[in-house]
Amino acid sequence: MIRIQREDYSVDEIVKALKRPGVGAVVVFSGCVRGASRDGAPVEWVEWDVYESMARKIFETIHREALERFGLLDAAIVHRYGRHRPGDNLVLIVTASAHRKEAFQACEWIMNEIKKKAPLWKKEILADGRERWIEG
Amino acid sequence: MKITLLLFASLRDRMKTNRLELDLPGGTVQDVLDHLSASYPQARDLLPRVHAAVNEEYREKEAPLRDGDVLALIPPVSGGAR
Repeated sequence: MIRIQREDYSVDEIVKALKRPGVGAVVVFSGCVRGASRDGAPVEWVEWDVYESMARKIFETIHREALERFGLLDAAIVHRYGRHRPGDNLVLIVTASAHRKEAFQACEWIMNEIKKKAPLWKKEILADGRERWIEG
Repeated sequence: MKITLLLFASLRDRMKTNRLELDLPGGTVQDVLDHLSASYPQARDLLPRVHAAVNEEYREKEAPLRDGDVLALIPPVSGGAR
């Protein structure tokens, strides 16, 4: 399952969608909007920009590679864009496998690949009114 | 050679647009960056740090462009722990 969307999502529904006979382990990474910038400044909003068509292709490639490399039974990659408040859901990675080891490893691998490759950008809008694009 | 240029994030803010249609005599990704650097001095410091995607695939700066290509300029992406 690949989803790139502005609106919120239900973690429970996505986990449920991945369950099937043979699945004995589901690992969830849930990333949310941090309320503090790197220098500690309070964050009012974040705005995520995405090159959606290219990000979708990259997510599809990462998804396919994760299934092959770790022998997963299924995986979900969900990322939001647009303006969101601290604490809001932002990114969800769910991996489903027969046993826990593969699901744990694959979940971290997928998130790292997204951070390396996906065209997604974050702008912080600080409580004092300043705005800045954050570079990795 | 007509190409479509897509701009995101910091580059979009600096250049005040998310899309440009360019008509150039041909060349590479780097030639487009040089052209933009001359035409958009407000973006000059960002341009050397961007990555390029041609038709949704990452490409080197030396990659040649063809008529009809979509060139996306990718500012450094937001990493960090999230």
